[in-house]
Amino acid sequence: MVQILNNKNIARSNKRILIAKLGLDGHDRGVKIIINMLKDAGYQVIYSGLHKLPMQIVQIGVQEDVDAIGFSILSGSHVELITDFLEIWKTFDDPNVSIFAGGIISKTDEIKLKAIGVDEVFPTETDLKIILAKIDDRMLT
Amino acid sequence: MIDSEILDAFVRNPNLINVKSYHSIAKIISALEQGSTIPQQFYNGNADKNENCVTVGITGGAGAGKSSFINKLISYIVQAKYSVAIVLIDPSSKLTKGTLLGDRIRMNPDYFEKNVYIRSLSTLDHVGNVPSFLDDVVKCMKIIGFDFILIETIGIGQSDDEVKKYVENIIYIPSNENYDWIQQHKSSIHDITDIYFINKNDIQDTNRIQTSIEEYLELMKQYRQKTPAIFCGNSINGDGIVEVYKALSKKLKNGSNIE
Repeated sequence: MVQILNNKNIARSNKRILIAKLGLDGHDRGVKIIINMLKDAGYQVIYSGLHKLPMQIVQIGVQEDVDAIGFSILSGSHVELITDFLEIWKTFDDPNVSIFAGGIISKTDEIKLKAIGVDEVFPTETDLKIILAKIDDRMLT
Repeated sequence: MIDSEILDAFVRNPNLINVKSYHSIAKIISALEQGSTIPQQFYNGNADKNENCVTVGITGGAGAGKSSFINKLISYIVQAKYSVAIVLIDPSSKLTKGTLLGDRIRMNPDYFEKNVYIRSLSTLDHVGNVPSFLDDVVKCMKIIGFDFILIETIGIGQSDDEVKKYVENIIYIPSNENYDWIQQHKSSIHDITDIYFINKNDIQDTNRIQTSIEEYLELMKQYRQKTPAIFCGNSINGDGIVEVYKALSKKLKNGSNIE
């Protein structure tokens, strides 16, 4: 499918998103789809690779000066890992960076994640269009 | 806008390059990306500092092993306690403007907490194979005081030699296993190469490729001031990369700084 280049793609092309895999989780089918979707929408997408520690993701985010960080976690330990990450992230302090999380995340965990500072949560089977729309809301305003 | 006070702090104190300062370096590069320029005052008085900096462009076809090669090269630079800035360039899509910056997955994450600053850049709208602001990025890294600056280009074909304008050393990693006479004579990348690194010695006959490059260089000898060095090895297990590191670091005051 040939995507028609629109003004939104041009606006997105200056925005940098880090897509990260945290912890012992090798399931990367979903993250690859998300990366492709964001790239086709025009974003600059940085992929961390598998099995990274919270500290390493913080370093990538800082060095790359990203506008948003999205986590894909299917191991079930999303609350613990993202809590660890945010603790270190806050010491480097960049409040403008949006944080997203996706994966097998229950309704109760979604509330927990939003309480610790995650901006949007995308459980499995969320429509790609909805994901893009919500990310656009945070990034393009 | 570039905060000249921050840049000035780096000029006054070269030891400032560490995990805590990466945030400000990142912001400076983002400002350059958005079209800012380096304040004029920094072009004066930094001449000797710039001389003590090794700039390297790493180029080669897609999948030749450039990122893995850089990953191994960094390990020697870290071992010798030098600081290094790495710029990884990936192309942006002409259809959608999007970029997948994926070179970082080859880098060992242990380096992220050392004197290693890694930045991925998109070529954005630039027609060539490096971003239009790369010149300023390299100058800025020199002002900040990195000992090594490594630039990884996008996977190249035959004539994309733009990166030579910004660095002193070009390392070329030939990728094609069917390395034949006509390909060699057509390509202009040989004209700018200073060091060849023939990769993948486990799956291809590196001696054959080396001989064929040497034959070509012999023909072109009369046009060159210096014959390029040729090394063979392996980006994954690190064979032969220490020799490349030693050749590059000759210029530095303390030399290679490893046994």
